[in-house]
Amino acid sequence: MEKQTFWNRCLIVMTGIMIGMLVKSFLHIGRLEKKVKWLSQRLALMQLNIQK
Amino acid sequence: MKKIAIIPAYNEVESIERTVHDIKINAKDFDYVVIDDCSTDDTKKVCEELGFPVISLPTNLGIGGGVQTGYLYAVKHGYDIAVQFDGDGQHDAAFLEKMATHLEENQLDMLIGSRYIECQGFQSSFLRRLGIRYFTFLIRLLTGKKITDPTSGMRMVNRRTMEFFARSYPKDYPEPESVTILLKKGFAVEEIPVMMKERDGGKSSISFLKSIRYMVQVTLAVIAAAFHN
Repeated sequence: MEKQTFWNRCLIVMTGIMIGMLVKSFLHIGRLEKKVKWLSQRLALMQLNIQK
Repeated sequence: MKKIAIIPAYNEVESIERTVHDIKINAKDFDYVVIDDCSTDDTKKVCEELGFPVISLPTNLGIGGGVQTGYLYAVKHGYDIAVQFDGDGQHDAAFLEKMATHLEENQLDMLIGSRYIECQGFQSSFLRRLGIRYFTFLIRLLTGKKITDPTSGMRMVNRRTMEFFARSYPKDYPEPESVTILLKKGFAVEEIPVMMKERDGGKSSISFLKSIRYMVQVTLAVIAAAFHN
């Protein structure tokens, strides 16, 4: 019985860590995406030599 | 007053020339700039060959990123009024001068060209109209303001809104979300009746399967925008 409780707790902790890592990676992707967007826009604006 | 039409274009090689000529002929007071969102067809090449001013994004940022690039450009070059004018040929440049006058006279922050005030011209499919009505209801519920065509891409803004959008603009399917943000922040938003046409060519970014995702995603975004602000 005690052994089962121990493994249950381990499972809960591991699930928590995995969810935490998942959330962290999403946040990381979000930040990276924002940086890519920012850089793309600036590069594109620098390139333009407007003429009408 | 310096005015500019921002033309977001993704794979619009069939219609971009006609769209720009429409502005040149029917909205002579407006400058224009094409935002090529890393098209995989010859949109950029055609624009360059024809001498159209084109901002070419090195990566595909989606409609939100493309339009925001246009606002950044407009702010940087001192424009007073900017209008989003889709590159697929659906919008009619003959309405732009009237919209600019209305925006100025009524000191509005955003003026949306609506297909559903006078219900003339191209009205979209039944399912899309149903979706649009749903967003009208949702936005009215959250902000108290009735916007009959919250998905309309034909929207004119003043300098204040341009600066606001240059700093922050929603990413995917940004129209209903951006209207909600403005209304919640106390910007003056109104609509004016316009007529639209069926797209000249290319493909809509919202296919049938995507439309389900669109409804869910935009609903969440609109609710989040309403409560975040």
